[in-house]
Amino acid sequence: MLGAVFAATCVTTLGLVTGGFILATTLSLFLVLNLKIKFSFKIVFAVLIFAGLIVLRNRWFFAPRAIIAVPYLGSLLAFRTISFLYHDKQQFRHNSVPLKLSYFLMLPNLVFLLFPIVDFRTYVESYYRTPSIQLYRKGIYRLSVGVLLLLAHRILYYYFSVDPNDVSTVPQLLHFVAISYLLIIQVVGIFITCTGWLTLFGFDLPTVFENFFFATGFSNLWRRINHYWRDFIIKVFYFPLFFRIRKIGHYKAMIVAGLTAFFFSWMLHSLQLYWITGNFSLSANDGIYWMTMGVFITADGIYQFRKGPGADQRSVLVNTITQGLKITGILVFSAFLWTFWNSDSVETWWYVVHKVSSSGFGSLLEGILLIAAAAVVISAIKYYFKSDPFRKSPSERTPILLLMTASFALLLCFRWYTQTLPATHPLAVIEENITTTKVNEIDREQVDLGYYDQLVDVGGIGRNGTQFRLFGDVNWAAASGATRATGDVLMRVFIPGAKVNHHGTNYEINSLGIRDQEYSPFPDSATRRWVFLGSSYVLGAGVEKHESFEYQIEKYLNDSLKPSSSGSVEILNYGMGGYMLLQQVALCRGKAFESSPDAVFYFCHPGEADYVISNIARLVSYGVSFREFPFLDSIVAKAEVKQSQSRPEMKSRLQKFKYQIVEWGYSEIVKSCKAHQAEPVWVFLPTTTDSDTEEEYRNLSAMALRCGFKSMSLAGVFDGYRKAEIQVGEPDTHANAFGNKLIAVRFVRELRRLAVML
Amino acid sequence: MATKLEITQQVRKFIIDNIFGGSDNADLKDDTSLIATRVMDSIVALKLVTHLETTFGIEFEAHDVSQENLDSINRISEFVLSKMK
Repeated sequence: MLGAVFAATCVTTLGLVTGGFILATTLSLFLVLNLKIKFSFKIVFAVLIFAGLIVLRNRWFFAPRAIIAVPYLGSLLAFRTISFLYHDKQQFRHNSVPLKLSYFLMLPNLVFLLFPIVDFRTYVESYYRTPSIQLYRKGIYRLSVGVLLLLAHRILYYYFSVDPNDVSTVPQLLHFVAISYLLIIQVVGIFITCTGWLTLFGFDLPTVFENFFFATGFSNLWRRINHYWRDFIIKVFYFPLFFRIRKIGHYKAMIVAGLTAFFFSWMLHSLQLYWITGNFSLSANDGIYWMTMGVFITADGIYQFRKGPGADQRSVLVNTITQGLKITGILVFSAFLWTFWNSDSVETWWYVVHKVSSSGFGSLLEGILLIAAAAVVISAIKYYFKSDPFRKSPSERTPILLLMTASFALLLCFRWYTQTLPATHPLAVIEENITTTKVNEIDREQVDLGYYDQLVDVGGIGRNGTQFRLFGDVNWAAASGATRATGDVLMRVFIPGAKVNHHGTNYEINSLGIRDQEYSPFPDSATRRWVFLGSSYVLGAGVEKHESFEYQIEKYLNDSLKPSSSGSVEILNYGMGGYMLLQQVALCRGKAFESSPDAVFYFCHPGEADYVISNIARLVSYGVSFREFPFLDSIVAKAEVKQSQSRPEMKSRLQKFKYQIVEWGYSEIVKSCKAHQAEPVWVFLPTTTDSDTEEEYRNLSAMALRCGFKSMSLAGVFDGYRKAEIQVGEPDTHANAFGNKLIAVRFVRELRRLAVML
Repeated sequence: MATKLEITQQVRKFIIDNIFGGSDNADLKDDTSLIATRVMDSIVALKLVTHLETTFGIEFEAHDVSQENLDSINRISEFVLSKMK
């Protein structure tokens, strides 16, 4: 039944072509793997299938609908094929074809691309081996735990995350490291939810995690964290290699097998992410993380192996304190290693840690005291909750199930209640924050820039954006051939005539290389021509052309002009995803005035100054030269920003210059406008996620006016509306059609006030 | 050749000595799942394999170290017996 439901879901959600491709590929692979043919033929066939998927994934062969299927196929088939072949080699056979087929067609995998590696034999043998009622209780318990962990993750991520740029003392570093490590509960929640669903379908699968925050040693940590991954690595790599080479000596064999297993762990983890992100990254962070884990776990494994049997003669108190210290030590080590692994680069991580090293002895002492306090708390918890392997599992304990049910009932009541409140009510804001997928302030800038890049540069995404892709975005990677790289400050420009579909939205690029209708090279005397400069909001990302505010403004103005005059308004949309102030300055030095505009409207978002220095840091890291902008070149030199530095360090160095850069940028745009007899207008446009923008508007507006702009504010344009009403949809926070209409209506109203009219 | 009872007693002693610090646990039955209860992990499995190979003169292969063969004292005993035959 699971397979049938999968097939139906696949086709209805992904479409006939993409869904059909997934099913056809899976069925072909399944058929060959189950034939009575030589084992080597099966391997060759599997390799060919995956080679084909790699060709598609890297876009060496362009087939958009098939390309969409690749992340799903990679996630569904890669590890399961290995597991299936492993058991096939051991002559394991199972009679039920539907059951075996369902192994490759796990329904939750369509939603969660990052999925636990379920062992084939464990899967088929676990099917209803436990009485149904116990199974369903277990499934419900797991789903509850999974969902609660995901909600907890959202709360932690949204309200307690620490910006590494703000870390300068040891306690702040510990806070940053602790929260970063705790965010792992997102993956834990996803995996537990996945196994919960499968359990409800009748599969009595083992637990995925086991309180790994309370690991007492490295082997213990490896034992507790992601059982499925560990069991897979041990079964497929560790044991086969160990038993093959143990003649060289047990301990040598354990070292070789252990380090090799972790090497393959690293490779397979990168492969797992490759299917999702399109990038096969073997970064220094990844290598150091996995091999460090490998060294410590292997060493501890040898120590445990050599440790002889015998009773622990220590008192309960001493034992508890020892355990508490061990747990704290492992926790601190794991958390630091985790943040290292998740840093953008070794340089970024080192930059943060290095900043703290100069914070002084007092800061260090505070940090040590914090860790000591944590050790005391952990010891107390360990003393109170003694481990007992034979204790009933939580799902078998009715009070816990009742508590779970009550928690969910409370959450549902909370959600129902907040729906009755105004959108700006604090409780309504909290409810929206934890029930919708979104980024926090720290990540928003990076993900926004990365997301913009998705339109113009199909390929992988950075680590920060991975969380969205974990949930199987249907149309991502469908855009192609829309842009070309420029190698300069503009980074990428649209290709004239390009037509693409990105995230379900059509983008047609005209002969001028902008997303707009065709216009004559020069306007006639009765026509007012304006240029809109901005980023993806101006572009109309996520909405069709006719739904963008630029289109609506143009239409409204022309409709209102018709009765009284023969004049018209043409608005040329130079909006481009990822374009910040610097790119607009570059546009104003050339392209923006090719069509002889009478006015240039520059759209600015809150956070402009920070976006500008992030943009500069990004360009420096790409090796882009600022020769054509001597002022900027001098700022970069004064700030001693170098390409070899991490982006956080570059941004930190540029911080004190950010408003100077913004003011320079505004002056440049105004200078270009005046040189071409065009009226410069500065427009403040909040995004759908901005709030309390009044002060920033005042500061930036004052700067814009000083530089010679006329100023227009669209602040509060989205006030009173819930995010779901004005955004394209999770995780795309761009304004949807209704949001664009709000912008258009407000713009026209402000235009009248500004009296920049025909 | 050792009997199943002897093998069972050896395995039980091994588990009690190496995992429970020498104190018998009333919950540890001959059919208690050692893997589901996380009593048996890869290091314990390797130690057990080494002990069984030394004690009973058998040889394990990599795929023998699996849940099917090592999940309970009963299963271990049956597997060792099959290896000895």
